[in-house]
Amino acid sequence: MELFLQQVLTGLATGAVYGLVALAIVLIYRSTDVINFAQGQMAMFTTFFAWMLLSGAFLGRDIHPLQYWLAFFLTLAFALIMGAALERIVVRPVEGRPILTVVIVSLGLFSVFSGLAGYFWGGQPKGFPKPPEVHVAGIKFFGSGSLDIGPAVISYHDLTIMVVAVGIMLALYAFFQYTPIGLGMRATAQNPVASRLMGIRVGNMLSLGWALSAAVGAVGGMLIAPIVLLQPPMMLGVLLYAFAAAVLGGMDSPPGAVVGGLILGVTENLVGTYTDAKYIHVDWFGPDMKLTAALLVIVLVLMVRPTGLFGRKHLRRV
Amino acid sequence: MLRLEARQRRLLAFLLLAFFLVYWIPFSNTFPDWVPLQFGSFRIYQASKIAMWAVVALGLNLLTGYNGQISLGHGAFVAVGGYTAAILMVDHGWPFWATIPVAGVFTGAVGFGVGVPALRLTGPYLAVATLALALATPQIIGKYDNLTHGAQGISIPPLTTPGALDGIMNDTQYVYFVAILVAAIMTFIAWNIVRSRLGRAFIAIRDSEIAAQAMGISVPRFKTMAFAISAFYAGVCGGLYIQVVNFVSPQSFEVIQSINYLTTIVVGGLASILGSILGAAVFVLVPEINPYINNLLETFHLPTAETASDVLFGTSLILVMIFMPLGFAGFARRLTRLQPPLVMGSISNFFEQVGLKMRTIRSKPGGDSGEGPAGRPEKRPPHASDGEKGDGSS
Amino acid sequence: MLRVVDIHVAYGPILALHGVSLEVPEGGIVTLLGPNGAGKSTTLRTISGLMHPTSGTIEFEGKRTDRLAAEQVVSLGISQVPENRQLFAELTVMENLRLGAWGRHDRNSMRSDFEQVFEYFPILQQRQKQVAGTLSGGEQQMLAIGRGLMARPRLLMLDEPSLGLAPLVTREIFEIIKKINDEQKVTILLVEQNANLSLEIAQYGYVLETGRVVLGDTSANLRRSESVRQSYLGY
Repeated sequence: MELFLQQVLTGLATGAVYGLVALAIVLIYRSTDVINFAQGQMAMFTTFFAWMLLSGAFLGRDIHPLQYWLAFFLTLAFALIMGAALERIVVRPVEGRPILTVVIVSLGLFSVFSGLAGYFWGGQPKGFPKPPEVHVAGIKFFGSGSLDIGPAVISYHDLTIMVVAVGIMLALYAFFQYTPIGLGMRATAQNPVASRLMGIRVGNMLSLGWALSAAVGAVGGMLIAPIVLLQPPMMLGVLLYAFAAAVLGGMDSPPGAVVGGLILGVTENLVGTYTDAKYIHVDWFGPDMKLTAALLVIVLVLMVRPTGLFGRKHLRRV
Repeated sequence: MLRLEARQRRLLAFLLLAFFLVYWIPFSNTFPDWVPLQFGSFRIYQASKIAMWAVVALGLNLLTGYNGQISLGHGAFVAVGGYTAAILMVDHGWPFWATIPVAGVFTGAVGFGVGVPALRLTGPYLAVATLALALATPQIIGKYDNLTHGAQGISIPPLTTPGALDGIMNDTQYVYFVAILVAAIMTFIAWNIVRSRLGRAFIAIRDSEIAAQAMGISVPRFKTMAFAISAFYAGVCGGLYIQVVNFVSPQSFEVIQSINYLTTIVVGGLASILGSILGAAVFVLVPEINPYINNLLETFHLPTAETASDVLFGTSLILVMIFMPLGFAGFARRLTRLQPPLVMGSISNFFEQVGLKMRTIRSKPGGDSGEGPAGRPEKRPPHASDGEKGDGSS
Repeated sequence: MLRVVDIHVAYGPILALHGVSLEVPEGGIVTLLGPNGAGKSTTLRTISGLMHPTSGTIEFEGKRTDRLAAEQVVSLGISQVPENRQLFAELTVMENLRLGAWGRHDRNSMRSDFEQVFEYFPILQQRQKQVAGTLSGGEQQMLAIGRGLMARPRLLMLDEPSLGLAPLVTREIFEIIKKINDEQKVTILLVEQNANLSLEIAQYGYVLETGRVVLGDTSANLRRSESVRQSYLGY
């Protein structure tokens, strides 16, 4: 039982990262109908940027290393600008084109970011620090070490991940639901023409969508880097699960993305643990099949609910 | 220049192409040294790869370009075909020419099996479900190793020229001819499908499922057929693959392969037979640029990295999509029709989008003539200052 | 107030408007009639800045607007209630109205404007929190008009407000349009296929056919004209 709880907790933490990246994907999809395959590599690239600020090394030259939180927020700013610039320069020229055209553009971005990261910072895995611990009113936040929750143990970093993911979710929800710009973005996503007639600058809304998405991805990257080590292929595993999570939850549902991520994280962990020879003796299924198991979950859910758990059926006017 | 009718021009082009494929590529290395554009063994091997790649591209284009169903999982089908052929050949002693069609048919059946549940999914959901298929494939292959030989893979003995042809060609050329023959047959079949009622049904479904249904086309039937046919093509490609590459393992079919197939047909040209083949050629030949890129970097004293080619590849993809939205095939079509190049218009569009306006020749601004259309003087609507209000009845 | 002079508008290579000219005086109601495909919506779209004429000019209160982007045209005081309402179907009534007021920062007058809209369309106040897509056709049209009003426009353009609505509802809406013109001093440009009702409330009308203005006259004269009666009024 402790093992079960343990695996669920760890699964929730990895699931939170999947959910974050899935959230970034859904953000862009909702506002621009684009599936951004480059999401993971963008996150990786911004995480490298953070590493550069933290360690003071760029193309062989030395710069002054920065404190964690300063680097963190500078990286977020960088991600915002990068996202907006990408939308303007790369996505805007192909908007309105068939969806496959835009998919290929995002695949192109995938290669570009992979290549650039390797070029600027090299392919050797690098360590990335966890957020430094902070003590508020006697309670410890962030940092290393672990916490006992009943019979199970959870690392502080995993806890950090979960809290940050939930925090971002709530912040985004509040932004979209209660602020005028959030309302404008929702309107733009639903009906760009009517939005223009309201005086909304649709282009700016789209850029903002990409900017936010890049920033959310950056947070995800910086949170998972301490665990998987910083290297160009770092986000690939996460990206695939993130896509799966977005689809599982429904491509146009931000809460669905996060829930999907959590479900996948837990499933992956449980399958990995319990299909071990210790528990089940089945020849044709084992821990090395955990990716397949997670994917099977998705396909099964899609069979029952073709637009994902919380997705809305697109009513098409004939 | 010779004045030729369109039909004669096409026949001439076809004959030139046939000559190029059947004679020049395989045998040009026997020509005297001063003849340009000779193809050595490696180039012939590359041509075989292009032929093989073209087969899966044709199939995927039938499904995605003509029928509108996005598949990110065709690597799985190629794997099924490849492994079927390999197992039949290596473990059961089948002759190679029998394994290819059997691989195709078996994979086609698998494709049909996938196509049925796929009916429920559209757009990104279908894409991710097929992606899941592609992701799971290497793991499944590795798992069931008593059938698939697991992670160590299967080595396929290379084809050797049969006795009758021994004096005429070597092994590489023989493989090339096999590949070209298969590719030609598959191209011919695809060409016919596209022009048949089947092809028209595919396109109708792609453009509007509801309208197609209203016209009496059984949408589920044709959509699953599209999956089956494109899987058949992928299976044949798999059968060819093992003859050209002589080795299969779970690593041969990683996800990136499936994504590459999709990129191939989009860059080559969706819904285009020529596009599928052009895309295949582009894809096989693109890595050729790498040494040139690294040389370029060195001359500018910039650090080199293998990843530099990734950046260029990605940038090229993006540029192609912006300036050649219909792919290479669409671009080629425009050139041969001598229309004003799409490129110039796209370039100015691009800059406009990014916020810079390019000066273009403007049509003359309209004048304020005060005359209405057809020269009739228009009655001015009464102004508020005229003192009239209400519905205008006098 | 609005002067459209000899505009030619094209969709790609296809010319839709062949030199259309019209005028909308301040404070009045002008209607633009014509059959399907005549170019009425194209005209409105061009005035709103969603499309740009290849030649010709558009002037609003003395300023040239034919080269402006849609967002800028709105800020000058022109608001359009588009064909088929184009509501934000997944957002609530209140949110749709708020979006109409995009770009406005005058909190207090906004509040009174909300109240004014609810006065004209009390049903909207009842259904404030309801999602726009679940409203009936007539309610949706009311919401679309209310949303247009929230921009405090000086010129309100309506594209076929009667489309898909039952006669009684249509009449109700047209009466409210007239009220808005009277009370709020909002100039109205009304595109319609329903010539009867439009000519009742408008002072002046134009008839558009295949991209050209074929008639432009007071509504009284239009109602008496043989051709208009046969083609558009049915008697």
